[in-house]
Amino acid sequence: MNEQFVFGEKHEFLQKLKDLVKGGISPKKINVFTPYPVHEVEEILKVPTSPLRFFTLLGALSGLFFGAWFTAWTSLDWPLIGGGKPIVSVPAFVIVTFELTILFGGVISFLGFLILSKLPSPKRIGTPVEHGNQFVIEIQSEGK
Amino acid sequence: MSKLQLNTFTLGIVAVIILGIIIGLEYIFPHGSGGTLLLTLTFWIALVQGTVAVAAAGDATNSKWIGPLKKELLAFHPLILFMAFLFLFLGLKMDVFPWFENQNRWLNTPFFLTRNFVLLVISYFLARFYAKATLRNSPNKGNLAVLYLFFFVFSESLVAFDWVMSLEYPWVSTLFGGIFFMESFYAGLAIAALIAAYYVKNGIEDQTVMTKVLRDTATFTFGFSLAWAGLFYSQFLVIWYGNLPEETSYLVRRMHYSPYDILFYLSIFLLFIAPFVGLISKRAKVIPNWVRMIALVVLAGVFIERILFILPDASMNVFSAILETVLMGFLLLLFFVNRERVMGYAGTERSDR
Repeated sequence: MNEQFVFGEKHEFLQKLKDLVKGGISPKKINVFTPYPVHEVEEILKVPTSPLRFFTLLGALSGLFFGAWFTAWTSLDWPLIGGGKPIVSVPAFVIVTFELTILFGGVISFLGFLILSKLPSPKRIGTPVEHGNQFVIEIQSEGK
Repeated sequence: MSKLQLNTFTLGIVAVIILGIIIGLEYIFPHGSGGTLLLTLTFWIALVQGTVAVAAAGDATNSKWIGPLKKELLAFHPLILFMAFLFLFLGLKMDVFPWFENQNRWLNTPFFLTRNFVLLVISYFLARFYAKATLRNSPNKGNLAVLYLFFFVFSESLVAFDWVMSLEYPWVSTLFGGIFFMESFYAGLAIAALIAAYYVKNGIEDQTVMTKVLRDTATFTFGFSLAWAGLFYSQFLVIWYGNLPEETSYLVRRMHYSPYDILFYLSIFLLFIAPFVGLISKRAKVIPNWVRMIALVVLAGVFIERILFILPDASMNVFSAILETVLMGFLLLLFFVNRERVMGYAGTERSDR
């Protein structure tokens, strides 16, 4: 059976979590359930940095190159001079490139998030037990 | 630094003496004195109004990170009054403005001096009331913060339109005021980051709290580098796209003619590229030496951009510019060291720590 601690207050919960980690319990065995994201938990449990940021970087860079290539290619494919500007007029294309960098970065981050957390899988959505507005620490027992 | 501790009266005397020296410098170095005075005025008014604006914006939005830095940021508020009196002296140097010979209903010397002086004095008094209210934690501090911010934006926009843009008369750009008060806020944040870095490095105050504050101010500086680039680019793109002779002259003179082109690219590098690249990583935001360097780079960027705005239209004197900058920097340092005295709340507990 797993050991459970239930708290109503955030600071009591954080204090207990610190004590547990200091007491020598491996952070890998601790599960926490909180009603909203508590960033201090990540610092206490030393959660490794997620590889999600590489998805974001990849998406942003692909958006940057796609935006720069697409605007230049479309203008060169049907060259029309507008307002006396050069065909590939970089200052105007910077905005499209910038927006596509953000769009691709955002969308690919989202896809990366789905892949990394193995979603959408119905089993992984939600916890089996509902804890409501309580802060819960669960320690996995040795057997498991 | 404890040697610089002065009482309020001496501090006032020192401020008056520095005001006198700056005015004297304008007569010792008469060549290009109007441009130098404008540079000193526009740069330091941005700093002193910006720091108070950062504190006010923090209060208006109920943000916690401003708490440990509030007294430090508000310590500069009496300098708004100092700048107001220094501005009055510009009345003797009105010949730097091209409209001086041919005055009209908006741009004439008496109205120009009155409206700017009155706005600066109003913003000083609002800053004073707001500083008192927020250090006593009185319930109407939010209202005063918003009121101060309103007058900050108003007076800083008028600084842009009147003091700087009218040098290029009849060239107009409606975004000029926005760029100025945004830059002023940016400079205020850079000062906040400097102070936080100083506290973390010297182990003053609670370190865990101060490290968080350092990270927050560094994040804000990083964010405002993007905001600056956005505003700059939206001004640049419209002028470039419209390609109207009466609008492009301003940019062409600064982009394609030496030595202004160096200043132009340098200001883009110092205000956008350096803080953006330098503060993008999570770890860099909590290294006090690094954040201090980036904050100084931002302040240098604002200074160089002021030179870029003014120099093509009004010549400057290198010696008096350097001396005035050093004097004003010393005055700011003096007010920072004497912050407890300036605020007149020495010994009282800060409530929102």
